[in-house]
Amino acid sequence: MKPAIARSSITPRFSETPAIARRLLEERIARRLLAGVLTASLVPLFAILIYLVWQAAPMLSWGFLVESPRDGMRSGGLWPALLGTLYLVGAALAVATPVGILASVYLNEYARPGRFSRIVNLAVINLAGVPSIVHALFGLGAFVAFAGFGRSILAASLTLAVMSLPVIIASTTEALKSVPQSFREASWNLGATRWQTTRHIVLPNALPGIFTGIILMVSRTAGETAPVLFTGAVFYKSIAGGDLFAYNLLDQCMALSVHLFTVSTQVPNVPEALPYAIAVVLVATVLGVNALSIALRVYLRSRKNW
Amino acid sequence: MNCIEVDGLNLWYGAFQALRKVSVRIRARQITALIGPSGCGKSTLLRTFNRISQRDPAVRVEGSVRILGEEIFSPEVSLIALRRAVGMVFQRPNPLPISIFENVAFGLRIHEPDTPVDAAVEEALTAVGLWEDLRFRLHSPATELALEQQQRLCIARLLPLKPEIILLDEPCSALDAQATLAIEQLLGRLAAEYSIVIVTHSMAQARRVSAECFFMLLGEVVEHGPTEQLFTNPRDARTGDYIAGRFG
Ligand SMILES: Nc1ncnc2c1ncn2[C@@H]1O[C@H](COP(=O)(O)OP(=O)(O)OP(=O)(O)O)[C@@H](O)[C@H]1O
Ligand SMILES: [Mg+2]
Repeated sequence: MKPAIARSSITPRFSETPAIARRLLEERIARRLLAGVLTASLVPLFAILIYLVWQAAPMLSWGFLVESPRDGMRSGGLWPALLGTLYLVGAALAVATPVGILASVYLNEYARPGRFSRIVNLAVINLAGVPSIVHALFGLGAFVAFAGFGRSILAASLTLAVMSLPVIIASTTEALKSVPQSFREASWNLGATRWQTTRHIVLPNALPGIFTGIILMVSRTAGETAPVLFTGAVFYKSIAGGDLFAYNLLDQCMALSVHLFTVSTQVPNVPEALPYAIAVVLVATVLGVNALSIALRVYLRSRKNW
Repeated sequence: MNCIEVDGLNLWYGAFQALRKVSVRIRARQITALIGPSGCGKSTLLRTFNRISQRDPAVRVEGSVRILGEEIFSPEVSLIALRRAVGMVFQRPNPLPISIFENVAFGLRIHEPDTPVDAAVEEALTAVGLWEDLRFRLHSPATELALEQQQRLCIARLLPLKPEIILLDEPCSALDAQATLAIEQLLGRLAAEYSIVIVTHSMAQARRVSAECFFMLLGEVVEHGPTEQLFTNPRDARTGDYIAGRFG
């Protein structure tokens, strides 16, 4: 046999040396640490949820969901508030989603990259950070007074829409940026227009990411109190329990967030479980809408198969 | 002397068997080419040599692969040590998104944090013929290099670690004819010091660079022998058909 050709004569060659063992130790520490941080950040979250449900349990029932409040809001249900929140979020979503997506498409697919689009992007990011009470004031001036909608579901949901537009634009922009440039080039090279490319190639691939932004927006708007209180939500309004079409857009309405605030701070002698029950319904509404979007997102992603 | 010895290697992606009873001997300090039609399992075989393929949980392997006499599927084998000794170059040049210098130094920095790197970087870049061209712009981003330079860099990046084996998966398919020839010459020079296994779709390239050649079909190694013999006087009819361009 010829002499061995291996560089190192140490055998076994591929076993753990002390240096490797040290790096593997680091690796294990990193893994534990990361898992620990994740757990630490999940624990309070679940603790809150469990605590809420625990406290709310005596009040939770189907009747609680579909009845109107009674006895000066001390008993009965929260249907007017639940329906009001659904109307507000739904209407805001119906306005902000298409506007936000189309604006972002223009910014990313049409506008020449340069100073203008950079400034707009920066403005959008900063707008997303404007406190909601400022939006509330703007909504009061613009929609309630100037546009003449009065304090109404319309004015309130438009305010929410304006508030969430920057979030949707920013997240749509991220989603569009994550579509590989080569897809666009391939499409352009077949003679497709920008719109055709956007419509058939870019948007379908960006949809899952766009949904993430919408989920964020739903969570944020459903919980907002100040903007709707300024522009269209009332402390109490009686509507037929369980009737899905009890409001029209120019009505004032109740909202879960406002209702929670009222019951917790403005009404004496409420049962202890009531505010918690309202909070549970609010959280469940947000999670329900999110679950719907996530299901849609998973479905869209499953059709994206390469 | 063999650097890789494979016996009865079977590999499945889920239910699909991509390698069937592969048994080969690959000799050290020369270039071995792996040829065969698309989908026959060349990349899969190459990727088992440094156990990259097993990152996919759906992959199941059976059989034995010995590198420098050592069984790489045995539980004592450290993947870190194995991959350091068995380097890989991919079809698309994939420089790390850092400077040219740091690309070459990266391996040393992660494996031997206390070793000085300057001399090793110069040596590696010289070995692949990049030093003269790049010595004054070592700190510019590697991703801005021409494709051929990027591919050379990807080879240079392995050298400071003194690998035993260099695996290349269609390293020239993104390059033009001249760049391809340049890379081939580089491989020829490196073969004096390193054992090289190259997957290629180009018959001409296999013939130009390799000393020995394997022909694979549908997950099996059909024929193996000295390159010249395999091309001029194949024993198996299927090999003859393939190199004559009658299928594949
Ligand atoms: N991750 C994977 N999951 C499932 N099947 C795979 C996977 N990777 C490869 N395969 C299949 O295994 C077979 C061999 O693939 P491999 O990539 O090794 O072929 P190849 O010879 O390198 O082909 P090419 O010349 O096109 O690169 C193919 O049929 C391929 O479809
Ligand atoms: Mg391949």
